[in-house]
Amino acid sequence: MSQNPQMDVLYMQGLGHVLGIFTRTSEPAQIETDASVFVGDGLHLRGSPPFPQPPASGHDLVVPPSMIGVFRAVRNWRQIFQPFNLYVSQPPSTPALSSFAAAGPTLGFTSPNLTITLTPATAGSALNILVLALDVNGGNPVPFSAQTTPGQTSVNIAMTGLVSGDNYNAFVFIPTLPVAVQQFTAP
Amino acid sequence: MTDPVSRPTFYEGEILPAADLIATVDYPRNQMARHSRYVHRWGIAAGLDFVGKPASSVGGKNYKVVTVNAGIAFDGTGKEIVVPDAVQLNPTDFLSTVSPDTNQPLLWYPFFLVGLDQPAPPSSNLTGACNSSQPTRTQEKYNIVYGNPGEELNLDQQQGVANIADGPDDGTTNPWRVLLGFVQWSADPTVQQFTDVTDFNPTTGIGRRYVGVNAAEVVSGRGSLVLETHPANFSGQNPILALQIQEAPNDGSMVFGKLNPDGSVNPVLTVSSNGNVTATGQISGAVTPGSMQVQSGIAFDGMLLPLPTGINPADVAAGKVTVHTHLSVHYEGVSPAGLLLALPVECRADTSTRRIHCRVIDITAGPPFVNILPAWCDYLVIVAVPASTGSGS
Repeated sequence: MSQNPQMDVLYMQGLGHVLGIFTRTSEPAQIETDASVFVGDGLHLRGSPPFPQPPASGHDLVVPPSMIGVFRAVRNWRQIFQPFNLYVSQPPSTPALSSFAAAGPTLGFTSPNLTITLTPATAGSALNILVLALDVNGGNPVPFSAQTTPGQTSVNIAMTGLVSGDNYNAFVFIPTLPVAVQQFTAP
Repeated sequence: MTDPVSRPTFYEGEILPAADLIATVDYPRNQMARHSRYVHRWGIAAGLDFVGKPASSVGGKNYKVVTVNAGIAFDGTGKEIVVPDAVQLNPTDFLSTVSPDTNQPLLWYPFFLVGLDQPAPPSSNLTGACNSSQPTRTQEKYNIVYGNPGEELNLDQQQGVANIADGPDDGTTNPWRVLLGFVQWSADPTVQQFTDVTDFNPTTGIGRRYVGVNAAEVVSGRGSLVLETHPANFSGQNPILALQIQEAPNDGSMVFGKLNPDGSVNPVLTVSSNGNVTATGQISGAVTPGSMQVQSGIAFDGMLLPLPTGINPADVAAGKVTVHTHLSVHYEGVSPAGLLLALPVECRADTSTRRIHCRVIDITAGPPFVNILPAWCDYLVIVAVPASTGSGS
């Protein structure tokens, strides 16, 4: 039996966080460019750290295919089973997998703001931040975005426009930093 | 009714009129034009490539000086157009025919070669009865003209000669345009210059056109026939590709591949005369009706089950093919701290969406002592394509 020495990586476009890795014994000559081939209407992430175990069946963080990129890499068994420790650098021209070198941001919530705190070492350059707020009762995630300036170590994002009183998980994506999660009650 | 083609003949003692002398020149010229027009396809025959040399203005603004090299083209009337020397594109000529949109500096403006017959100036060396102030030559000149973006479309719709027996057009009215390339114009109004040049417009997908041949049969007399995208000694960015049909004792083959500098073909696809096909790469395409396609590997909870290469997901959704699946938990990835025992909760693919549901319950030294976690699975997918209604039919 011949094994294809490749693996296919699904990652957050523009941010680099790896969301999943799979293998195919028979790879096509050209890898698919549309992630919906692999995730349908969205990639369902449930209960795998750092994504919290769902309190109820059917509670998934669904990442839409438009936010997901695909690329092919040399197969590495350790990486296949540790996707959330990895990020994709320099996508999509010459993508490469790297392990997160720094700890994720520290999160806090003081209504209505989600406070994201970075270490000085990780705040050296301007960073794009994406927050996906997911109601624990289900539904589609609500995106919030922000950008830091070089050296800025703290950012407040107003979590408004959500279902007031509902509990949410805020998934925070910052390039080259692990995903961080904060639960809060919507104002 | 059009007069038949006629050639001049002469007899001893004939007083030779100028028209007969002209006819001796026109007859082979027209014959050659008909040959070029109907046996060949119009376009560039040789040379006429160009270079864009970087330059900068007094104010330090960058632009390019575009020079077209010497060459030969044939237009759609069969007219031979000769550019005897390299010629520099003139920005003033460009502005006389095109009003560039400086808000869109990435537009590609086509430039064309057209032929133009003009009487040469009368010779001043003639005397007596010969000094009639009449020209004794027609110069076969050329012009480089410019067009607006998109004028490179439908060049085959140009109007050629009126009658099949006609000679080449003289280019004085509606000359036939042979596409040479495309230029970009500076967005800075203080720099009225070209900023780039290319032989292919990526917007319209149209590039330079070269001469071709109208032939129902191409017959070689040497037991080998080769089609090449460039001569073997050509130096360009792309590899030169070739298709060779080669006779051999009791055998023969058709070979496709890159052309080596020595003229040989580096085979990547070979079809022998006995029907054997050899490919060094992957063969893909429509799935053969009546076949079984297989995929396997490792996938994870939440994604869709990968399909075999070539299987259209729409055919799966429409029920045009039959999908057989087998999934089992791949425990290697289940490794929370303090893991004591992991048991499968579910491991299946949704039959309508192909989404994988693969989770395990693990018991750890805790707390928590019990977790339900997504997991990886080994999968095997077999797709049966019906013989009559498969995606490859």
